[in-house]
Amino acid sequence: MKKNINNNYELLSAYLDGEVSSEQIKEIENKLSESSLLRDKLAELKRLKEITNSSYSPPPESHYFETVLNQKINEERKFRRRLKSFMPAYGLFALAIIVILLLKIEPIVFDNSIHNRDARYAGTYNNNLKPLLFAANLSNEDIFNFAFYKMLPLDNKNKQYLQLGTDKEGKEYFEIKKDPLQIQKNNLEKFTLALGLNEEQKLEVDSIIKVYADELQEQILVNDKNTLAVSQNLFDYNRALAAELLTFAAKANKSSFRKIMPAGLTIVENKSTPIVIREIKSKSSSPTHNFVFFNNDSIFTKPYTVDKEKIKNEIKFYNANRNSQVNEFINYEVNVNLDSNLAKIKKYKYFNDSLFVLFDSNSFNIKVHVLPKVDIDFPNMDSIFIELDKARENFNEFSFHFQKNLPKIKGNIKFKYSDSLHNYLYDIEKIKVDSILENTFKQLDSLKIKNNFNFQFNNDSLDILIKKLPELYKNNEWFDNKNEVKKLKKEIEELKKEMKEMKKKLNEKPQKIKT
Amino acid sequence: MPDPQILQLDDDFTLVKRFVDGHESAFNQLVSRHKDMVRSIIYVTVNHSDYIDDIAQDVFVKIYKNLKHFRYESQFSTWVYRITINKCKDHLRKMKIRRVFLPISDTFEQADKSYNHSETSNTKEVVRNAISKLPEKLKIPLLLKDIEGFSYQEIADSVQCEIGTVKSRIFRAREKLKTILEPYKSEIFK
Repeated sequence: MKKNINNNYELLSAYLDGEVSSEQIKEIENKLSESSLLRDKLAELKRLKEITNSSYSPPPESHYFETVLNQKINEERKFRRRLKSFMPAYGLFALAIIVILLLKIEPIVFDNSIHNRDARYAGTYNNNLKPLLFAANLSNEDIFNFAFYKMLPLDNKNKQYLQLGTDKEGKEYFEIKKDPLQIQKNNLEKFTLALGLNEEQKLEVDSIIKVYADELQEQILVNDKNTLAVSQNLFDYNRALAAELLTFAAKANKSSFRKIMPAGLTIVENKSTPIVIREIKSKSSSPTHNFVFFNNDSIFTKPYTVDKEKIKNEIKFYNANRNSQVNEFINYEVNVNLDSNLAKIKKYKYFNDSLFVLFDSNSFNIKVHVLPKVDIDFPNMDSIFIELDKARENFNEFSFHFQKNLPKIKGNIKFKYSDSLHNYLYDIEKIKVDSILENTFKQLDSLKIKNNFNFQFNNDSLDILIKKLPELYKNNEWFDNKNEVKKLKKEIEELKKEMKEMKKKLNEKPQKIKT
Repeated sequence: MPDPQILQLDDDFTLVKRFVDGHESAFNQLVSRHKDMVRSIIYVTVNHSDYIDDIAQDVFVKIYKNLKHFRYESQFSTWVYRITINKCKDHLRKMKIRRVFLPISDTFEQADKSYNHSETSNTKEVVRNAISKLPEKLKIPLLLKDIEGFSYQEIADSVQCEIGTVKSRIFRAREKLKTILEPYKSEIFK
């Protein structure tokens, strides 16, 4: 009812405004003649309309309206002109913002474009890849050194070799260097002798090495376009081989194993170690894996499928024609042209997600960071790897020897590495005897942490300290004349006696040492 | 004897076309044609004479900037009034926000004091104050109808709504105005 009344009133309001049709006018006027209520309402609305209309006078005059407006429009025109002159700058600014946002949202876009470019190179360069390592005629000794010194010769004459490493951030890298590390020779023989392996066990070591030697041949490939392809699996192989050899050594002769690893090695007793080794082997032996490709003007990573059958045939063919020099890669040498555009642009550095290449010196040294992609969740992988690295450090310590013909320079000693631009200076004067001794005893103390150990002391290193140092530094005044040196000699003699007594005692009967 | 000049029915369109063709003077003609109505709409809508010229100039600067994009789909005047009403709404919104941040004593926006304070003008002031209290969506159609004499269709085009809505809003505005003026009933409805 109320709604009806309201509708009537609304119509009345429109009627008052002259906004109704002629039919509606008739209808309304009929209703008005019948209803005093409606008539009153119409009068009220009419009054409201009148008072609204009469409440406003015309707005005050504005004599300068057009003048002010023209001024404003002129300013607007000037502003627009200025805005137009900056259009190119705005365009560049907008472009920069878009690029920044794009990189922020999709950082891989840029990398992908580089990757695609690299992939185009890949098509050209990864044809006809052949195994390189057979050309190096790898011996068991070489494979053994690969396990513990992470180095592999790349040619027959050991001119070039591949060195695996881990940097301070824990990232793995490999280098291709010209001169091999100064490591002792016949390491495999020493290993078998130290363990006291019998003939059968020696054959078993050889068979372990043989399996890896065969697999390794598929990991480093070359072709006639001077492309070198190095598989990222090398790191896994290296770990697996080291772990397998050490596990075998520990099983073969537990007491002698202490000679190699005085502090012991938990991985050899860890049940998951064989699983890790097996997993690494099965993963690494799949035909497709990531390779790092090098050639004269490009370095890139790409998955590559190795034709295992073809490679086996290559090796067979090579072995059958070993002496006929038919293999074109026998004298292969990795060459990266440092004067090429790549080196110029990158200023000796080149990196993307998976690579960090450092051109370290003119004599050729490429360092490649490889980010290993571990697809399988290995059990206790990290702890095993950490301990393996520690084990390898032990190996280095026990094989360490002073290089001969050290340069005779007063004050500082300058070490010069043949494959690097840098010289390394060691300030000998700052080394105090006390600190050397303290450090030595700390190391010995750390060995005591393990109970029941059988300690084998290596005489040679102390002998060198006592005998060779005065001889080496006889021309350096600071060495012979300083009291520190005499003190050192005395202390070392005493240490040697103590060590011998200790060795005698320990070798008689293994016993627990209270710490 | 020269031929008599024939006046075109929709002269606004001709002026707009001339302006688009590069005749800046055409714009001045458009301004002088619509200036008074624009100023009047602003005056009644914002209920303050101080702001008329600033807002009106903003309206014409906007028209100047956008005239090249005028699509001749509606009357030029409707387009101008729509811009004017939108500018007025912007102004009222700004004033509302400003009032939030001002001390209470300054927030009371007094009605325009340019009027004489006679008895009649007092009644007018009461009515204007009452209208200013109406919500924007009721007030603007009411003023466009009762002061400016727009048709419902023109109002609908200017405020961008249906004719039925305009009809309803104007009626509601009058009803609400009656309620606000209830205390002055004896003086106003005598």
